[in-house]
Amino acid sequence: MKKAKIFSIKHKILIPVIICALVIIAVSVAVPLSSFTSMKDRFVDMKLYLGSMVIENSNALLLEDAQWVFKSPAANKTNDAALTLPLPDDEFKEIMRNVAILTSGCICIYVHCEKDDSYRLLFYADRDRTDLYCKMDMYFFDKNGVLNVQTLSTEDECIAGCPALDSKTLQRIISDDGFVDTNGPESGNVAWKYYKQYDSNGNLAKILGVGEKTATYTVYYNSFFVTILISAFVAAILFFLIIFIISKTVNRIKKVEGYLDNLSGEDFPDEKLLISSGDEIETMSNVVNQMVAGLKERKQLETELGTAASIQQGMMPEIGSLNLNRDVIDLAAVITPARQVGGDFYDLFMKDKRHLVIVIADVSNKGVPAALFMSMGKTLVRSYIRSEETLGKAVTMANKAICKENKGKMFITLWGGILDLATGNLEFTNAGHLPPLIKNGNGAFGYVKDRHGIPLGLREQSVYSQGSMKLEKGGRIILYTDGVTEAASAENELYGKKRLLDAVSACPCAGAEETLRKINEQIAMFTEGIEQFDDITAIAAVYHGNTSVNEAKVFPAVNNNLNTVLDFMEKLMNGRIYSESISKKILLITEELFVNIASYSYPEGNGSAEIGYFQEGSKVTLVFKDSGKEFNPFAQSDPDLSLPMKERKKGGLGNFLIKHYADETCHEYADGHNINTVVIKDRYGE
Amino acid sequence: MTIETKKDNGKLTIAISGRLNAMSSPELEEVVYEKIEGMSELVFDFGNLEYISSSGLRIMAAAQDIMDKQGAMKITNINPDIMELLEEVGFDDFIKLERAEQ
Repeated sequence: MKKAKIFSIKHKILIPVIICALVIIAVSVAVPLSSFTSMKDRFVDMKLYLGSMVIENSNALLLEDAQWVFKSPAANKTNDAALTLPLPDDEFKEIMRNVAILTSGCICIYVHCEKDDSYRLLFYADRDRTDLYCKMDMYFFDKNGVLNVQTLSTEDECIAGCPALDSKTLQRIISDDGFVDTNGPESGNVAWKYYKQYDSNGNLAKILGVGEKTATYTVYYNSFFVTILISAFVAAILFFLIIFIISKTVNRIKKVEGYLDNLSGEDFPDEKLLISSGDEIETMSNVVNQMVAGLKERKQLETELGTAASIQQGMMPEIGSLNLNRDVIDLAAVITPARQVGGDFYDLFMKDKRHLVIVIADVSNKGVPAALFMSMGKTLVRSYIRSEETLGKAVTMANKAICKENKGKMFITLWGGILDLATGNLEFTNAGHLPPLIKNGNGAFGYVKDRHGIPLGLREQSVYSQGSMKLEKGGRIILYTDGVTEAASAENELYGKKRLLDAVSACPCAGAEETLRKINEQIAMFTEGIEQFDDITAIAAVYHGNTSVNEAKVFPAVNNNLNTVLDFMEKLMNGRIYSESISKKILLITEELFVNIASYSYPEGNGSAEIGYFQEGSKVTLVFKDSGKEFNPFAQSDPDLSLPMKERKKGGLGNFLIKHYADETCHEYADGHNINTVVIKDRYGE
Repeated sequence: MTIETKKDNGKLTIAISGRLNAMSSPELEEVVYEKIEGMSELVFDFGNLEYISSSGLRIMAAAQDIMDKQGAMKITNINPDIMELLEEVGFDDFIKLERAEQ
């Protein structure tokens, strides 16, 4: 088997997944890492800022008295101590906690009271609560540590919220206040804002410190966001890649499926299934192609075997084509090959109008060789039975011919019989075949075990004789092959002659067809669940020998109707009259009498004739009845053949023929009817 | 019934196949009368004839009457059944009959 697999489907999906996962991991580690240090600082800064922006000495609430301490580890290490100041009280702590969770724009101010050395919260707010301020100045330290004031340009600005400082202003403030962000202006959007609050008299009431720091958040957020963004991007690519791979794979599977769907019909496609995906599907398509090639071959073989089987079946004669009269002989045959072609055969044909030939045979092997041998044997046997005088001689000749052709040492067991339909005489030869079951008259069925030689094809010098018996009316004969007697049951028991005898004895009066059906049913029951091993062939014949018939029909008596009348006669004679010449004579007499009626009884051509055909055994009585002018065809004098045609009396010739061929003739004229009766006897060659 | 005719230098051959009965004989009669004129030899080929009735026999007799005057006539390839009939009606007395070769 061709190994086409390069990448399995699993790998095709797993490899991008792993690559993407690695990319995501790398991005989410690398991006934050690149700004990790600063981020950490900022974060700490913010906490520091939130917790350590202190306005001291607020007693006077004067700017001059206030001492601002800003602690930033980056800015001033010496002031680290301020970080560790004990927090003033629970209220403050709570506020600080709240402040700490604010994300941006938080404000926190508390003062240190020198008097009692305590810290008190003055104010805190977030950006959304700037409505607390009515008017604000912004204070900041310059580089020298001197506090500067910047009054916000308009009151509205104050009220609307924290002044929206553009980056330039912000940068200026930052650069001025001495607390420049160590990471540079881009990331250092730090603003320190300090507001003065005035009382109603316009005096300064409070100093407010405002701290705002969003930069570190942005940086941090950005790194996170970038990670998310890149990851999402990579994930999206991965997603589409996987979708692509899966849809491609599914399409290929569909292609295979569609291809396989087409196979379920009778035909196989000529083109192969072409998939070069380098994965399991390609491997699968290769397997499918091999399988289809195998199936094609098999199918071809099956078709040929099927054709062979139908040819073989065609070699078995159709009983209908024998034109038998069922009142004389009731015949049925069945053949069920075990494999498509088999070695059994039967043959049924008329040697002449009177003699029916019945042959049943079984070739020693099965399958195609047996079928070939069988067809040769069948042809030879038929042709010798046709040409040879006696059955024994025919079988002897056939054996000789078969032996000459038999390199494979196959052989044929055969039983052949010639039944005289007129008398019931049966001549038969048994060449090693199973004995037929015969029932005669009121007797019981029994096996007739006469044997006249060994199977055909074994010894060229074999001479076969023949036996004969007479089938009484109602006599039955059943022929079969070993497929019947050796049909095996599930218990590996054989059907056997005893069971066959019992089966046919159970319905001794059944017709031929019914007898075979019964046997078949019995075998089917006996072998239930077991595959048929051997060909099953059987023939049943019931000899009635009844040729009696009483038929009459009225025909318009015109010459044009002659063929209809002759057809009517032929149909009645079929299978009842065994002599070609007798049937021709009957037709001739019919024609002459009918033409007579048409010409003489009804010179006007407007009458009708009733024609009757009565047969009892070999005696046929024809009755022609018309209601025309009295005319006795039998009273006409014979033609004088010595006179030239013109001088002879018309009609004399036909009447001469009638009288010549008929055994009896009788004319009667009564009640205005001509009744002409002709009797002809078939003497069966006596 | 089918009729095949062949004229060859004054010799007319008429081959009849099938059944020659009261239905089909008028056709043969027509053919015979149409073609017999001036022929010195008439041959009926009965090789494929299955059956002949008195109407057919009459044509044979009439044809013989004509040929008696202008030449010779014979019937060839006659099968045993028909031969028997022809002999039984005595046609062998005045028509030259040839059996089919077996």
